[in-house]
Amino acid sequence: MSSVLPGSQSRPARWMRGGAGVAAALALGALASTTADGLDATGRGTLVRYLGILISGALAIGTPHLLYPDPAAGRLQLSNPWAGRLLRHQIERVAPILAVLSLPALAVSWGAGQWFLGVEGALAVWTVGLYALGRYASLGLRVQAWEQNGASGRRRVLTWATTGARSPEADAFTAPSLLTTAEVFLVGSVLAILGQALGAGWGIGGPVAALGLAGVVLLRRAETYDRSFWTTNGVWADAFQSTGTEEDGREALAYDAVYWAPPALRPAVWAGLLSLDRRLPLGRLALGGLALVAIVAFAGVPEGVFAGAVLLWIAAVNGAVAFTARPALIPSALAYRLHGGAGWAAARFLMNVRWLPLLIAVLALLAWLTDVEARSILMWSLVYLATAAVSSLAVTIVERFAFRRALA
Amino acid sequence: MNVLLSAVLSLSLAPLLTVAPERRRPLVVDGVTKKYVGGPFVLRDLSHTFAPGTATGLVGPNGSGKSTLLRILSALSVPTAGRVLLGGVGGVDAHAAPHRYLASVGVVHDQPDLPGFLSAVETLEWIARERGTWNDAAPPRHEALLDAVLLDERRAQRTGTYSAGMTRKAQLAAAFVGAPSVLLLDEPFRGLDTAATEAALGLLEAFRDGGGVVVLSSHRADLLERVCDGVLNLGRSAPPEPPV
Repeated sequence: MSSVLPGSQSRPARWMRGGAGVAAALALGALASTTADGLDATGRGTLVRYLGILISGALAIGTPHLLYPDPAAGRLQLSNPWAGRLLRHQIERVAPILAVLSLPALAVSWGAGQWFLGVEGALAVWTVGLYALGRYASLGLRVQAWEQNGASGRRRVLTWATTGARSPEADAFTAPSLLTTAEVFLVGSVLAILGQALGAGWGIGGPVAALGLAGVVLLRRAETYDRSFWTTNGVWADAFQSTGTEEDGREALAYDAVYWAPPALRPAVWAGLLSLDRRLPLGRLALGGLALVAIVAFAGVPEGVFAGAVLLWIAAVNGAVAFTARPALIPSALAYRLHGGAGWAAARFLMNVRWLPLLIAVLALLAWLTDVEARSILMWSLVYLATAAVSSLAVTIVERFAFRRALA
Repeated sequence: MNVLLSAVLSLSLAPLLTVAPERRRPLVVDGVTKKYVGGPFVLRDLSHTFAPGTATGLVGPNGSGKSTLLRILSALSVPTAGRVLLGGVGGVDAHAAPHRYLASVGVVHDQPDLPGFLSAVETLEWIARERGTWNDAAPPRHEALLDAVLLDERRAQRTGTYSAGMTRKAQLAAAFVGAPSVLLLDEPFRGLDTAATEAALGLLEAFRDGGGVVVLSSHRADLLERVCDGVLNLGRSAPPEPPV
């Protein structure tokens, strides 16, 4: 929680959150450093820019889910902070994540005498993060415009291209949100390509200019940020209040579709997956991420870069299970009436495992078409299973700790 | 509550329960329509004026849009069409200027949402400081407010340790502490015992009589009858078909 909301978190919870951030930073830094081991200056530059593209993708998809609907909306109404403080509240929420995501670039450049490369990568992450914050803040107003101002020709075409629907009025939310996702990803990709084209040293110019621009845009919006914040908060909350039902055209996950889960855990796995799919566009995230991994493989980059991309993908899809610890998805009191901690850890592990066949299929395809070695499929499967187990266990332990504290 | 205590309380609470004449403005719902993505219409072209000095109960069966309307009135949801204006034409648009609008609004949401690691006293202080209503007179006024909602000595404990009823009492106090001119309440009596319900009714009546606008939803028809001047029926017009 931000400094705008005092008393919303206990000291142990703050320490735990800080500890998790430091652990994630250390893990990402070590991973990036290992990946860069043995690479020359050009290879490190390429690695930093590929990482920039991957992180841009994660920020483009993840930022709105992190910020909206704000879990503290009720408390924010009570204190009614002015527009600038609302902006500060949101920046304080994304800043720790951007700080952690900046570290891989710094770790890659560390010790290679390429400090400017690390700064370029870190600045690019902050630029894309702040750009995403600003663009998603105005999403609510854009959705309203699509909804209320009728269907212009341009909107019809964009809606059809992104959602397949014939009219923007049918679903004024999906097209603008998908376009914003694409726009944020494009900004990150352009910065990476620009950095690669300009080369080490000069490449820092792009992120510096873009960060300045993002800062100016945010400052100019600061005075009316309350309107952007509350409108987007409402639009996002409403959108996820209604998606995932048969009415919006997406079929709900059938109970029988999780036949692969043991009968004792099947209801928990089914309920968890159903809730996750309605909360997050996980399928989009998983497929988009694997498409990026494939692009990285086809680009013929050093092995370390490819390994970093696969590891990031594995961490992202397995990390999503943390959402099932949110009371809005599965309230702890209800959860522990049904299963103990071990049961939920096992159920979360099974929820994670569902993307493994997709990973194996893509790796097999890449082994056939590119230089990726076929024997690496087994190694990546084991890495995937280990990550799935660790994330399931960690999420369950943290959730139980919080639940017991609440009861104490 | 004895008469003397009641008089003392209402005197110290007067700044929170009385809306200055220049702040007495109607809350206007102007052609509001709400349709969720892929869902049916929840509200269709709804227009209504909530006048100052009145209390209005939102009634209707489950799913008729009571909570949706309260969410729109509290700027937590955006109407598909239409506007919510405090002060009518030329007034403050709830969704175009939410900070200015919410400065005049006190809200009790159905879901308890208080900072769990602050006490009720600290929560009120935080809100008052944020909203610029904190001064030397504030601490005794807040004590009086917590007395008025019958929150006992546990007011100094963290709100995260409260029972459902105590949480509701703290939420009620928090809604009043910013000296609002409009109160929006979703099931404000849920979880309250008989004495606390009477106390809450007394506060709402005093606020209404002091020129405030009260909009509330409750499944307790007997309580709505006591505090409300009128009702806004959001029920479906067509009754369900009888079984053949």
